[in-house]
Formats: sequence, C-alpha cells, structure tokens
Amino acid sequence: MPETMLSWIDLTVVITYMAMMLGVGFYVYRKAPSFEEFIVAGRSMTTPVLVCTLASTYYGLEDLFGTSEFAYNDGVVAYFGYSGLSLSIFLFAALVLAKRLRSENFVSLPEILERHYGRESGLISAVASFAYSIPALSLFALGRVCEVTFGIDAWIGAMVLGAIGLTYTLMGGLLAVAITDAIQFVLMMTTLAIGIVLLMGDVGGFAAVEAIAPEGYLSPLGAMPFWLLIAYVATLLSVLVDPGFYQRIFAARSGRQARNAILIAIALWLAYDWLVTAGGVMAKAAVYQGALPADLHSNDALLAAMIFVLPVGLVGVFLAGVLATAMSTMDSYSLVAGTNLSYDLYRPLRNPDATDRELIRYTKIGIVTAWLSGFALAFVFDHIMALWVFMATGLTSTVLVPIMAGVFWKGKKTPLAGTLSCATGLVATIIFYVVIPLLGVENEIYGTYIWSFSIAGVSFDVWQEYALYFTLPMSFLGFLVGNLLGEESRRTPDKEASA
Amino acid sequence: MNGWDLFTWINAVALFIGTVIVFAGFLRDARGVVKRAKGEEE
Repeated sequence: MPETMLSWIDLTVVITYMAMMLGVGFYVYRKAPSFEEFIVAGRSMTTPVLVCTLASTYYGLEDLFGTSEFAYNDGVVAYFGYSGLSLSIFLFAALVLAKRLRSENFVSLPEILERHYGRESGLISAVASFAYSIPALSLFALGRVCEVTFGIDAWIGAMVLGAIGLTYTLMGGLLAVAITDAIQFVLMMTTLAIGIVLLMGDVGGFAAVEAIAPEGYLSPLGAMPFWLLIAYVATLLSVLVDPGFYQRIFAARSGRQARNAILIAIALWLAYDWLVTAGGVMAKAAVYQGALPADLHSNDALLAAMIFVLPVGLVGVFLAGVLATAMSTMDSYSLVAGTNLSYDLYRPLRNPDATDRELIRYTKIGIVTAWLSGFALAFVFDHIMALWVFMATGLTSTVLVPIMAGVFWKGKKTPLAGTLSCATGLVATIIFYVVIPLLGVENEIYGTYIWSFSIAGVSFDVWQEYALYFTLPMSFLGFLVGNLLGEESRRTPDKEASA
Repeated sequence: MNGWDLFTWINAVALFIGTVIVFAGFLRDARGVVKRAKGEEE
C-alpha cells in the first residue's frame, strides 16, 4: 500500500470539503418533500444553478483522466477530434431539445417514451437507464484517486467518500446534489485553470512539447485511425440520451433557462477540455525532462503533473476538486437510478397511484441499490471502462431512435413502434457484444476486440466500438416495422397538444 | 510564448473568470432556489 504524499494542510482542505458536503445534506434536508421537490428540485433551477450542476455532473473523472490520457498518448487530437465533436452534440441539445423537453414537464427520460408510446417502451428504457446510471466507474475512479494520493486501499476510499455522497443524496435529493455540485464546480474549474498555467511555466510551455512530440502529436486530427475516431464519436451520441442531462433540463425553471445554461456550460467545457488536453501533453514533456517518473501510467499523467507543480494547500484544493469530479457524477446518477426504480418501474408495474411518500421511499431504495451495485462492480469487474461503454451503447441503442422520433416526428407513432425500437436496439447491443469477442481477437494496443474477415477478396475489420453502427439501424428498423404493423395510441403528447 | 501557449492562457483565464461569474450568479439565486424547492414562498 503506497504512503500518502500529502501535507497536513492539504489533508485538512480535503477533510473540510467532505464536511461541507455533509453540511449541505443537513441544510436542505426536509422531512416530507413532495416527489417533484425531491427528484427535480421543484423545477426551481435558474441558469447559474443549472450551469454548475450540468458542468460538474457531466464531466466525471473519466473525462478528467480519460481525456488527459488520450492527450498524453495521442496529442491534441483529444481536443479537436473528440471533445470538440462531443460539444457540438451538446449544442444541438441546447438549441433543439431543451425548450421542447422542458415544456412537457417530464420527470425522467423513460417517461418521455411512456407518454409517447405506452408502458412497455417506458419499462424497457427504464431498465437500460438504470443499468447505465449504476455509478461503478465513478466509484472505481474515486477509490483509485484515494489509493494514489492518500495511500489507502481503493475500496476503502470509495466506500468512505462514496458513503458521504450517498448520505447527502438520500437526505436532499436533486437539491442537495445541485448545491454540492456548485461547490464541486468551483473547485474543479479554478484549480485546473491555475494548475495548468503553473505546469506550462514549469515544463517550458508547448516549445518543450514540440521538442519531444512524435509525428502528428500536435496535429488537430492526430495519427489515430479515422474509423476509430468515428467510432468514438458515435459513442458521444449517448449525450442525447443521458438521463442525468435530461433530469437537469426537467428541473429548470423554464426552457429558456435550460437552453442558456447548456450554452454557457458548453463555453466552459470548451476551455476545460483544452486545459485537460494541455495538461496531458505537458505531462508527457515533464516525463521526457525527468521531472515525472518514466514509468508513469498515462492514466495518472494529469494527477501526477498537478501534484508535482501545485504548491502546498492548492494541492489539497485540487484533490478536493478531483474527488468532487467523481462525487458529483456518482451522486447524480445514483439519483437517476433511484428515479428509474421508483417512478419508471415500481409506479407503472405495481402501483400507478403511488403517493409521493411511497415514490420517495422507493427512490431511496433505488439509490442505495444502484450505489451497492456500482461498488460491487467497481471492485469485482476488471474491465470497468469497457463495461461503461457497453452500458452507454445499450442505452443509446435502446432509446435514441424512439425518443428522437417521439419528440420530432409528428406523423403516425404506434406503441408497437416504441416497444420494437427499444427492444431491438437493446437485444442487438447484447448480441453484438457477445458475438464480436467470440469471432474476433483481442487487440492489446487499443484494448478492444476486432473481428477481421474478407468478402470477395476485400478485407474488413469490425471493432467492438462500431456497435452503434449496427444497433441504431436495427432500432430504426424496429421502429418502422412497429409503425407499419401497430395501431396508433389514443393519447400521445402530440394529440394532447393539438386537442 | 507560441500560439499553443497563448491559446492555453486564454482558456485558463476564460475558465477562471467564467467560473467566478457563474458562481456569483449561483450565490445570488441559491436562497430562492432552496425556498422554491422546499415548497416555501420566495
């Protein structure tokens, strides 16, 4: 077990941060809130509150360390090829989706499908949303940061810090999550801005990077295979079906405030992503200069570089920011999973007339269930990132087509179309993820399975990351067949609006 | 300082100032949001 590299000042800062998070839980705690107060904070959120919670929730440690690792290994393509494209999808969500979704007063993502297509689509999407929202990746990352920085076992770190996040989420619902998100937002953004500038000064700026950079390292499109880039971009479509993102739109005071918040968050993410990318490439230069160890794992590059460059005290603030990054993602998705269990599964299946008190009780049971599942998966399952990609692919394949058709297609929409679209997307994902490892071979460089075959002398490589190119057309086909064979429902939001 | 350095500086300053402005807005609105979310009068 490694020993901690922190001073008592840094540790005090981190402990103070933890106490503040619990304090917020007590501050917003209310004995008997209504369900809407607990889940969407009474739809009271203004633009600045939404910006804080959007920015900190949607960016977890997988972005902080994943993007910096990508930059450390492949250069600035991490920003221009990946982050830039993902933010263009957020732009679409801000300009086209936000107002439309907020005006319908939904509570959860599966409810969109339930209202457009009926109970079955809602149930299938609730299962996919629950699986996606299990906070395994953020608990794993939380534990790993604790191990590297505090010198404690990863599972103990994840259990202690995860329990703090769990406590304030259970006490205050989305309101507690949003307020803690604001504190986490400030810590995340400001320490990164200060740290990267200091790191740049310390290694000698990009001139030092240019001196050691391999070919394509500072080229915006880099040296990555084009199709792999396209495959990564396809996974970004999960933004359009992200239940945590939708929950924040539903919690906005108005559609206009939701749209403005996403636009401001995009501007902040653009700056944040570049700084994370710059941190990754400058950590590479620091390794070449001998300032960081030569055997540094690329995933730890940014963390090691920041601890190396920041002064005592600010290291504690940065670490609190790093822990905040994971906690803000973990608490938000645990809450989403709880909503899926109570509002999207228990209510339609067992008790359509459930009272607010019952719904909140089942939401809390769902939050704890998701948290425990995430904890178990994080420390039992070896390929945690692969698991997250599978969950994200599963959710996108299940709900993207029927949600977009539900929101934008004003023509005939049958309940069977929704059900078949969801079911074929989900089943196709499972088949794809079972078949490709069976037919293909594992590629250790990219950490994925690739199935190579040839037809009429032309060879093809099918990567596991190409799943959405197969599953989304299947989901669309399911929608078309269901629309052709099924009968239209009597009540849909479109009809209610035109009535 | 080359173009990449300048770009990094601009992003760092923009992120820092943007964060401070948004957080100031949060502090202005927080009390009202908490009251509304708790179902109390603003």
